[in-house]
Amino acid sequence: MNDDVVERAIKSSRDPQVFRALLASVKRNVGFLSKKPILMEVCGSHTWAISHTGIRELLKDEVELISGPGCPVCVTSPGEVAQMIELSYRPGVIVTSYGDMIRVPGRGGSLEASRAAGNHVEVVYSAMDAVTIAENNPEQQVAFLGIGFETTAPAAAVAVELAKARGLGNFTVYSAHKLMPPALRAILSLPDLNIDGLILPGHVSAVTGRKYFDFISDYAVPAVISGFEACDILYAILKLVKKIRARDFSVENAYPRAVRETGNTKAMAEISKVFRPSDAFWRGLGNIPLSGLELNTQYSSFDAKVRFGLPPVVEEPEPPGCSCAEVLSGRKTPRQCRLFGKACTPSNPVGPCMVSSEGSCRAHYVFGR
Amino acid sequence: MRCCNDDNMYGTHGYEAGNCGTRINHITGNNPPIGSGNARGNAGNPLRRRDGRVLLSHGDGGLLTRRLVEDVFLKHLGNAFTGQMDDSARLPLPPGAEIAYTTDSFVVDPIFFPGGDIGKLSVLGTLNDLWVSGALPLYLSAGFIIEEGLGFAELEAIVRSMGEALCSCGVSLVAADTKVVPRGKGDKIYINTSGVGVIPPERKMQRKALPGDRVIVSGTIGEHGLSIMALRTNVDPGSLTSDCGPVGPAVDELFRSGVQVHMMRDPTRGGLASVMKEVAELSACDLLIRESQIPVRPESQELLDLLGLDALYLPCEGRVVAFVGPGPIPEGWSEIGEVRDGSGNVILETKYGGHRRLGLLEGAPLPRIC
Repeated sequence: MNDDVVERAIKSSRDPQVFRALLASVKRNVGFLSKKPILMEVCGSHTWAISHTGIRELLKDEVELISGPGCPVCVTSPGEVAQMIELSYRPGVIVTSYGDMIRVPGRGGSLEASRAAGNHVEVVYSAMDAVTIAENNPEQQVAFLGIGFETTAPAAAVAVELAKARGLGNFTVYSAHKLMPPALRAILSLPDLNIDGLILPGHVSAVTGRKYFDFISDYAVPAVISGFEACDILYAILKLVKKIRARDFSVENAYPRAVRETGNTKAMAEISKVFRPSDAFWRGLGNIPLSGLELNTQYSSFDAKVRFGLPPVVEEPEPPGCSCAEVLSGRKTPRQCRLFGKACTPSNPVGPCMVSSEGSCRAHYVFGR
Repeated sequence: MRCCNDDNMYGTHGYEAGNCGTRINHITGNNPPIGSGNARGNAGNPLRRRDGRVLLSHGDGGLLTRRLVEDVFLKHLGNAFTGQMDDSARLPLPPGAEIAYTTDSFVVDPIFFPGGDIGKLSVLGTLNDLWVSGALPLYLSAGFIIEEGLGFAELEAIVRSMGEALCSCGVSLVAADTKVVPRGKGDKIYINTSGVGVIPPERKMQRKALPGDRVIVSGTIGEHGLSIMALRTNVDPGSLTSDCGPVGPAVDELFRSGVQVHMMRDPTRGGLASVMKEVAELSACDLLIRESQIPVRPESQELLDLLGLDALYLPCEGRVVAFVGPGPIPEGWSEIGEVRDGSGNVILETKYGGHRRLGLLEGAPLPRIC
């Protein structure tokens, strides 16, 4: 697609007139269903956009929109958070992290509290920035906290390769990366889960391609890949509502300006060059086999878990009273948590869903009426 | 160019109006005998070369301190009137006048940004606070905390732009202080300024919004915070510059228009949303704000999308939000919403017709943005 076409598509995806037409169409089509459909998105950017644009409120009588395990900071398990915090207390270690992560509470406080206690925690905007910090601080060990899904893993992989090419012996990645399909399988297999459709993540799909999600049709739940503008999301919701009615369980791409059938093969190759699937703990879903990424043997000298001799991650309890686990697996809405808005607020978060701008609790708190 | 209060109603108080430039009554911390033992002309002195740097000993109150004051501060902030060196400035004020007094510290990182620098910001930030209180600014003080190693060229550029900002607003610098801290104990330069102004009777506001008021803003929002955040994240800000500037002219026009001004704020830290929330709570009213009417430059919108930031929470450094009664508003101001009976909520109607609550900026730190 050339730039002009994309430009036009983005413009129309923000056009309030297009939005109103789509909204009316969603409402009309929901009328054909026997009950109010429950749709789950599994992407923090969708969580944010659905609240930010007001879609949640505009469709409150027609569609229930819930969030699944799509916020990178939120799904990072308490055990992983505890190791990250512990790492920051090691002498001579600079921990580099994406911003939201440093405020997540865990055993031992938080990375933010660790920084205030005098440890070296740097917020970076990309894995490359962490490589630069390693180059500039040759006497220090620089550990980059790799979180997120198929979207962020390629950048971490490139950073590892770059560090290897430059012979940086002081750069490591603490990989807490997660893979979407095993988590979706786990969610779709939950006995107490009741969802009618899945809004699939546009960013992840841009990397993985549409076909990557074809397995969802085995679970007889309609799924549509969505973009992030207000009209993109409504369009995906409209498609889902129609598919629910037609009992059409194919995985559809409603974000063709960014997502192809096979995705970004270069980025996917980069992931499998540097990482291999490993068992991983997810907040809310527990241990899921082969749902995480660890560094391949040939890159193990860049693996923070190897370099610093960290023990395998174990299950850690959630903070007392925190319902993040239930919220992330779609079993509770944020407002059903008894801490929501009282003991747990963005200024004083108890769980990660209130920390991250992509967290479901935070979106409900900040944008709720 | 307007200089040194010469068209200010509370004008000159018997001071010599002087050239375009500012008056310094005293500079402390270093206590240099200004005007005596002038070291100017010593061009061979390595400490005065353009590539020179501020040393710890520039803050010891001795000869180097005097040179720093004379070669940098007095050069750009001093003028014909330097007065008797005193431990405090003595300021004449009109009898019975209501005084507005404010202080603010500036730690912005980076210290130079498109559209301004920490010097300009430190002058206008404080003067803007006076203007939105209904005051006509008269006097400013400045305190500098300089990290050892700051280049003289950078320091001079900062001080020069303070001089230019003061001059263009017709305000006098009447007190200043400089300290130097060891390398690593500060970050380049921090500036604190305090300002004094006088509130004329016709600019007294009731300082709360009333149901039925309109909410108006004096220009496009978010540019200061956005240009800083773009620099900090290594994103090319393109043609975007900070809105750092004096709000005096916009405020003057608003008062001249005759519209009843009930309250004004400048949406700096926390952005427009946080300021509106404060006003809503203070006034025990609700505000209904229409997103489609909030002025945001198209080039800002592109960067906002790229960086995932919300213009409503980014600081402006040259904008005013005002709560006004009926009547025509001056050109350049935009009506963005209205005040209703309520209990301190700010409700944003999105451009898609949905609604969401706007609260104070919470848990999304944007440190050292002003």
